[in-house]
Amino acid sequence: MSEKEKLYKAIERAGLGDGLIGRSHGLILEALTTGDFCKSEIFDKVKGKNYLTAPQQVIRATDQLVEIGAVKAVGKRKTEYAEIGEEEEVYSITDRGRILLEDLRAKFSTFER
Amino acid sequence: MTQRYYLDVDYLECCGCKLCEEACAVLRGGGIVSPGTARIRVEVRPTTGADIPLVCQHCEDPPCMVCPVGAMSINEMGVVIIDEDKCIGCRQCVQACPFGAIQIHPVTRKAIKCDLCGGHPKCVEICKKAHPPGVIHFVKAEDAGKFNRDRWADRLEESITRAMKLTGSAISGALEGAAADLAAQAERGEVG
Amino acid sequence: MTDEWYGWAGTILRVDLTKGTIKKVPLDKDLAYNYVGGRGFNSKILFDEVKPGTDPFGPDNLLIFSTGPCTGTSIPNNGRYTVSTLSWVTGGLGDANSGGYFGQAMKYAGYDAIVVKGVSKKPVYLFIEDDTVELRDASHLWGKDVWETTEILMRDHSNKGMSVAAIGQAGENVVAAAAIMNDYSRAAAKAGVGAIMGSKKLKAISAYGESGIRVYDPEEVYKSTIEYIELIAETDKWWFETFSKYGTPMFVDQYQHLGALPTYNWKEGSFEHADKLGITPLYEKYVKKKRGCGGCMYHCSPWFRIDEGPFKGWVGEGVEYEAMTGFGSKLGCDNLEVALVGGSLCDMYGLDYISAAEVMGWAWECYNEGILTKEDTDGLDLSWGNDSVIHEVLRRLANREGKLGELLALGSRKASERIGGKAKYFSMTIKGQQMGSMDPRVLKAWGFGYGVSTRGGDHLRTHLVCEYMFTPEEMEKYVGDARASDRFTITEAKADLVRWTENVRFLNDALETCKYINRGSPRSYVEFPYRWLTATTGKSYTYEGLQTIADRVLTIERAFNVVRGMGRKDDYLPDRYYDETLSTGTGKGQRVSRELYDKLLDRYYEIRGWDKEGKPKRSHLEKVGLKYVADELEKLGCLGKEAS
Repeated sequence: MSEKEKLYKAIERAGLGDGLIGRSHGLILEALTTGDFCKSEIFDKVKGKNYLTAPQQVIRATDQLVEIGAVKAVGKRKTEYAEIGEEEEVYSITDRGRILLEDLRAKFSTFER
Repeated sequence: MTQRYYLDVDYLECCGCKLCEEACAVLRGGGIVSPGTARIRVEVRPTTGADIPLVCQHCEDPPCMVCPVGAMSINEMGVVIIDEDKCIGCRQCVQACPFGAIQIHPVTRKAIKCDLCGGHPKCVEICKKAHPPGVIHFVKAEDAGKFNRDRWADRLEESITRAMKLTGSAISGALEGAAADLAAQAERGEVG
Repeated sequence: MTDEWYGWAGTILRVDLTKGTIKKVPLDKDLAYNYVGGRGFNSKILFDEVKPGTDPFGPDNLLIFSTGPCTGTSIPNNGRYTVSTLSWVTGGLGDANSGGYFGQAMKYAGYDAIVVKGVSKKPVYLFIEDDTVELRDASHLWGKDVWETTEILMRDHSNKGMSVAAIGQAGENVVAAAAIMNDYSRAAAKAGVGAIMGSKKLKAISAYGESGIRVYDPEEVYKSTIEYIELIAETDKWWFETFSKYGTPMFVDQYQHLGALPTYNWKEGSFEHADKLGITPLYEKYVKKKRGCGGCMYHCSPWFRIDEGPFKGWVGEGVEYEAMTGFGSKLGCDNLEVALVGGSLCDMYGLDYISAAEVMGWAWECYNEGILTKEDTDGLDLSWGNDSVIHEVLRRLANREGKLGELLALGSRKASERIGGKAKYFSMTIKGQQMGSMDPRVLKAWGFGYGVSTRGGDHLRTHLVCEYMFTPEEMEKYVGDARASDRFTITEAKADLVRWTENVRFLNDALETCKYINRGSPRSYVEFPYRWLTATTGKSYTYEGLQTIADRVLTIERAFNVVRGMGRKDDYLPDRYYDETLSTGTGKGQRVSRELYDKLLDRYYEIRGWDKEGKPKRSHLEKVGLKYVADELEKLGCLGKEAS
């Protein structure tokens, strides 16, 4: 099975088909092409775009990307967001994630709204 | 008997939610859901914070085997089983169990006790799901105490490694110092 | 439990305190199937039996304790119950919801609901143990706090397993902020339900039962429960792990980051010393263990003990965000220990953290603005940041002691009417109900939900966490408009979002499940309630059918308020949120636009089937099976106008 096929199978298995992976995930993946970041850092980069206005939206969208293998945890970092955890995971985009980003860019003319 | 099992309870971590008790009553309560039909019961003590699941200990030498009509037997898992057809509800077994783990079912009027759900205890499953890693563990009898040992060792390991981070150089310095002292004593002929 | 019922127990207790009688009444099938349970039962019974003009403290007011068909059935977080009454705080519908073990105890004893009317001549308590239900003398308990009352009842009845719901001094003294406590630290807190219980001279209800209930499909009940927990662990992973670990105190840190933390009586949304009140100091020194309510999948309740310092030896459970902000940031205070002990004191006196903190915030701000002087406060210095007087103020509030105690006992709406002038501006109430939780300026849909809540200023009718927890993609799919995800902006979609959440949240109050089982995972709201209801009761429920029942109950609640003269004018937020912008935090610059808020009201009333004044229309009432309510509203001249 190709990586792309694995990606879409994972999306279906996670119950995230039918439009649940969209612009928000595109923004997060784009942020991760510029480096490895934790969720609160990603939020700082994407906030205000596509109605993303709370860290919790980015937390959950990132967890969804982890679940489908588009993003993976590569380390930990201490941040000020105690409600996220004593330490936050640091995330890196995977090959699958790059494929997803490409497909999302083709689907949406822009991720910002 | 092939292998004895029992339910290892983590008394320090139980949160008193009673999901184990409720699930047991729903699935094994004979159609009635109530604390009186559950084979595991949780006593809660909010003022001291103690929450205490109480269930059959699946004893090696079970004091409950006092049935006058032969309704009790031991299966291959070492579990005391009550034959409800024979049970007369005399309560001798209820009185004999020091843990209060046997009850009389409010409707059938027969004695009921934990039978480990035939090897897949539901209380263990629901607790593990709701409160990972769970506070009731389905373990082989010979592993009794292992959980407590592991847990205590984990806690000590945490404190020890924290101490080592703080005083690492001091410890190795102390060891070096001790070694240097010994060497000096040896030179002075004070070590035998 | 009766043989023909599954899920529901099948019996209601009708207690008449004036006559001293108790009747066991079969549960009405129409009530059960069409109103489900909990708040559904209570709101219908209140509309039908408590007529306009009833004195809240008189014998004709009802105090109703209800469980739901899923109470005690092992589905996640099934241990809740709802208390409802005609509230003297709002003059309209009042209800409060609590956890612990009391709901399960009364349900296992065999009772879906306890309807209390009348006023007892002497203090009494209601003793329930399976078939035995008796009113007993409580003169030896009157004057005692909740914890001592609970201990005495357990000792007198030799039963440490009993669950006790009781009022403390606050309820006995008929204080606006009085709560009904159960299991030491769980509170049916809002609407002054404790005051109604005190006015009836009902000190406590003790419940224990083994009669039990039946469930229709035990295998499906268990299977759907496991499936549900797995769903949350998978699709709301951060929430499941973090909330289990920290409990509601995590909201102190969270709301500080959202700019939503009530500070200086709601003037600001972020507090310069929030780090002293958050989970880091709390878990470093004080929390010894986590506990849960009956059926809980989170164990969110921190059990604490203070081991050194001026409060050494103090213990408590259920450390709550509302105490940490209420006796902390709301008063400009940063002393965590004072806040923890403040919470325990409220549990003992039987005070709602939210209402007590709000009236204190009002008093603090009035004092700092020179509207209240030391003469009004009996010499107490209510300067911002002065935490040394907090416990004393709580004690005086609970006991109506002195000028200050008497004033605060009224609640801030009535107290500010007495003081006059600008005092009213500092009263953070809606329909008289004192506000809690988070700042409406930074979570616009949730804030709107406070305004239209049928029990007054309240964050739980909607508990609109999906505004900040759903991804915009989820918001688009489940609610219809991704714009609703922008918490700072008011769009028409927010009115639809509020109606949607009010309806799904009603299901928490009807099945009687804790609202924390539905947070960021959309399927949890939509799919599981009808599955659980069907599996426990054997009656076939659907998502759409439950939406209709929710519409029905929300409308009958509205009608209850409308016949008492409430309407659109009562659905607005305190002026502060429209007139003052936040000057700190991530919500800096935010306020609520009156113009856009009015548009939301228009849209909300329209989709609810009410007219422009918020009065239910006959067409809608008949659609949701409430023709008799339409007839009654018409008779009283309060029916909504059909044509727009």
